[in-house]
Amino acid sequence: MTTTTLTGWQATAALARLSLKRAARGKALWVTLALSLVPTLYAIAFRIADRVSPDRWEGAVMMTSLLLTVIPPILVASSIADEIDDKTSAYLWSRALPRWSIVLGKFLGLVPIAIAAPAVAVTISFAVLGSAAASLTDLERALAALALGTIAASAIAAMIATLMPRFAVAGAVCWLLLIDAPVGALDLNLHVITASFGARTVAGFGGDASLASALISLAVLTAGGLAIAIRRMERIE
Amino acid sequence: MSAPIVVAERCSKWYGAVLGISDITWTMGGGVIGLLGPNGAGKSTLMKLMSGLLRPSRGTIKVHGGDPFVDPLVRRRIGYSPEHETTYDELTGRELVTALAHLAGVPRAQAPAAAVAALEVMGMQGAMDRRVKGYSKGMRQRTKLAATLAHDPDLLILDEPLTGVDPIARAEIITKIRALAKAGKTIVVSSHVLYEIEALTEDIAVIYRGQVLAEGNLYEIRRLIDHHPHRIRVECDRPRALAAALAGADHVRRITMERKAVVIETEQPDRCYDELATAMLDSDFVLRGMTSPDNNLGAVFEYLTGDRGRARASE
Repeated sequence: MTTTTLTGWQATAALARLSLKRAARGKALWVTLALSLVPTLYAIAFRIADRVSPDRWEGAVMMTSLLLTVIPPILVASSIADEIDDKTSAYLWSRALPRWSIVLGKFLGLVPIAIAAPAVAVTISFAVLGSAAASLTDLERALAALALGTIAASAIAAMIATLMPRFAVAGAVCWLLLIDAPVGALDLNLHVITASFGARTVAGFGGDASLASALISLAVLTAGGLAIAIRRMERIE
Repeated sequence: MSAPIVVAERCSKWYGAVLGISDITWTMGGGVIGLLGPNGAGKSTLMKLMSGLLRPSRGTIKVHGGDPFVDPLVRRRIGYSPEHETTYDELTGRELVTALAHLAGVPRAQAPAAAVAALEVMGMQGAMDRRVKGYSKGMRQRTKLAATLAHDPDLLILDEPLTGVDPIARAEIITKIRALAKAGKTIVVSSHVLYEIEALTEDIAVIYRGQVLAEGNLYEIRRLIDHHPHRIRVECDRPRALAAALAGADHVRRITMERKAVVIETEQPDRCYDELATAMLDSDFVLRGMTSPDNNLGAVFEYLTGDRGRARASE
């Protein structure tokens, strides 16, 4: 049998597949799907009450965006932290693959689930509320906002998982819910450093804030979070 | 001795203020080498350093001439089985070993076959399509060992591979490890249980408080120990009379009476065996059994990790 050393990207792809397979059989996926029902139920409730309006659409999108504070910690932070805390990282670290591929592989394997769940929820909400509440453009912006916001929130969750693996989920939820979301809601320039503000702006609910600055903010948060997570993973013993 | 596979030079590892291993200079060739020491002695730390999971705080450790922490090519030649039994429980045994074989460098197309072959070697073919979650400890250990050897490494590093397994699984795993050694693998195996190491190899390194106290063959180790008393347990019809016959000999350090036996501690085993034989013949003792408890590693371990061992370690 011939063995080779996987390139970093081959290892990343292999780890992404492995993470996806594990997530598909774990409890985190079911929790994610259950949480994603909440905005849909909100939309259904207003449809039944025949109180459909653009405000309800905004409410459904805001409620869905709250999932960004929970789903990335449940999926991404727990996956990385469990690897470290349960010591299964030993199986990966002792193999011929770069450590950065562990962070990136998990990130790329799990972020699609983290994006898909709220995206489906907001799409169903759109269908339920109908054209009286939002246009197709509104839906596209909401989907883009959820995708980019989830990516940034997942990078932050990955960073927190490597910094404090024992309290990764709680730490990531606290950060995203108690720091990122409130600061993002402040009418101060400080809000540009939050994923919640970036996502809200991309969705079209950011007031006068520029879309370009929101996109840059989300990109910087993603890159910074991943860079710190990778740096930390390379040093953990 | 074959070319060194592991070379540690003044290698130390601290976890904050806690000492893992201290200033170890150690060379390891081929074959099966047992790392023996109590819990917390530094065995796992040494194995993690060899496997590239840790990097030395001071000094160096080389495996196949390279640094396992930084060099993936070195790690490709290593199969490491950690002490803990946690794995990816959501996967089946086959999926787990396949994934880990691919990550270790087996091409994706070949990984399933390599995994099945390794699982068969470990006798897991009947359960490999069940999820790891439902495995017994013995099955988990065997699956871990299959994952360790699926990429056909030269060096297997097995940290406490017999911990927690039942006697039948233990015997099976010992047989498998011996077979791997016979097939030419270099194997480092650790345990704090003396008879486990004894069942696997006579080549041992005794680790205590982060230092290699002694290494080599069991008998070489014994030679390292100055004035280490050799014990001979004799079961006979009149143990008290036999004890009296040997009590005056200058090489006898101590005589302990048991219910139907006498245990003699001597500094000169050869002389003692001669005099025992003479006494038996002269006085018509009926010999029922004669053993040397020192042939068990336990005696050496107790001695090396006892007060004199500690004194030696601090020198």
